[in-house]
Amino acid sequence: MASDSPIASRKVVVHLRATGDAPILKQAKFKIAGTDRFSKVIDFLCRQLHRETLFVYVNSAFSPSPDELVNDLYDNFGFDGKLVVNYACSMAWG
Amino acid sequence: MNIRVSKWLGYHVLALAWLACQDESLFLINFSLPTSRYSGQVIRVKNPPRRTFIIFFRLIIVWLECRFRGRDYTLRSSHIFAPLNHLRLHSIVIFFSQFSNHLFIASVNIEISVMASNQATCDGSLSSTEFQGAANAFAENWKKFNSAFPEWSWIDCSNRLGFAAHGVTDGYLSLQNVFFRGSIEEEHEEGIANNNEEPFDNATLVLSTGEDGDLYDFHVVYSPSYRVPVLYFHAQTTDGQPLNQDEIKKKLPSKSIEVLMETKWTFITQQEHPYLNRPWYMLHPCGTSEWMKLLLAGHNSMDQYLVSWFSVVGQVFGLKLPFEMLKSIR
Repeated sequence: MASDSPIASRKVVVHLRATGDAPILKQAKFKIAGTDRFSKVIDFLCRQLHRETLFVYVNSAFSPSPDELVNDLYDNFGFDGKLVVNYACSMAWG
Repeated sequence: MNIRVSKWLGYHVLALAWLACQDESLFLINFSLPTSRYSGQVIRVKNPPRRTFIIFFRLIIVWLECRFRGRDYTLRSSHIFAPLNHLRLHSIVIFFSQFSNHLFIASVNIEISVMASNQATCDGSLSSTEFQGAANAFAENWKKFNSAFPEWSWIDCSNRLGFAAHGVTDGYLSLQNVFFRGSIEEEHEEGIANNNEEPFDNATLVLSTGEDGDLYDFHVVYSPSYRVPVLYFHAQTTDGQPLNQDEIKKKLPSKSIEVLMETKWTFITQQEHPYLNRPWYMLHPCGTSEWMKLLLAGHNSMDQYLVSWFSVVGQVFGLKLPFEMLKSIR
């Protein structure tokens, strides 16, 4: 059923990878609605790790704006059927 | 070589100058205070016990870096044995306290500017020549993919006093007159990734105090002490009234304000612009190399440094980079 649904309502597999001294999650892969914004991923991580700020980035290359759509990120930077999101406990800015 | 001598009395002063790249021998300069400032006796040690001294100097540098960044001093073996090719140590002035038998560091003169540009460092920082390369690449990229916005231009300041003599080109990147209508948040919703549409959304305009919007100037300046780019900015209303820090904060996107509240220090600070010598706001660079290290992992070229960097700092203002530009990071 999921494969038949239009792109707008598909689910995207997000692979959360810890870097540096960040704690590893028990479950690293999650499904998230493609229409959600990236801030939902950030908020989810912060809740799971009980931290107020995290440095979250994609493809070890850049940090997406929180209001990017997960769909857009997946279309541009996803591969192997998933979007790899790295996170670290360093300060966001400053 | 510049050796400064402190005026503290009662201390036996030991000044060590280690010319790391020009000459690998060690200079020990022995001053006895109080005497005239440069009357120290210079002893040149031809074959210093290199290993010992190198480790010793690295300890000092690591300690200084930690102190400079206001962190606790934790020593890792990688600090001591990592290659030190990004620094040239000109002089270190060390005090030896007779009372406590400890060495104290008085002043350090380190030059970081000259470095082989093909050596990609993985510590999240870049040299000034790499900065220029990255700045050109970033401006080109921006012009290609982000044509809805004004262009970044390189402001050449090579003739500034002190730099002309070194034959080093010097300058900064500048983006003038970025217009944010009302609150940055409203503009933010529209997104600058859509090149086809008008980038500013008038429909959701929230009238603040009757003014139409604000003009921002952004400068990317290389910081030789942190070895990272620093974003300086200046904001004014359309009638030329500069905005103060509170007004700027009020208009930032809500996500930025959240981070601003959560961080223990305010990450926007006012500083003298190193080229204009006027007070500008800046995003403090003390954590930059730490997160840039993560974004550079596995990339050899420094040319796309500023693209990665701007994807983070641009978020403070809700400035997004187009995906095509982010894809160029390879």
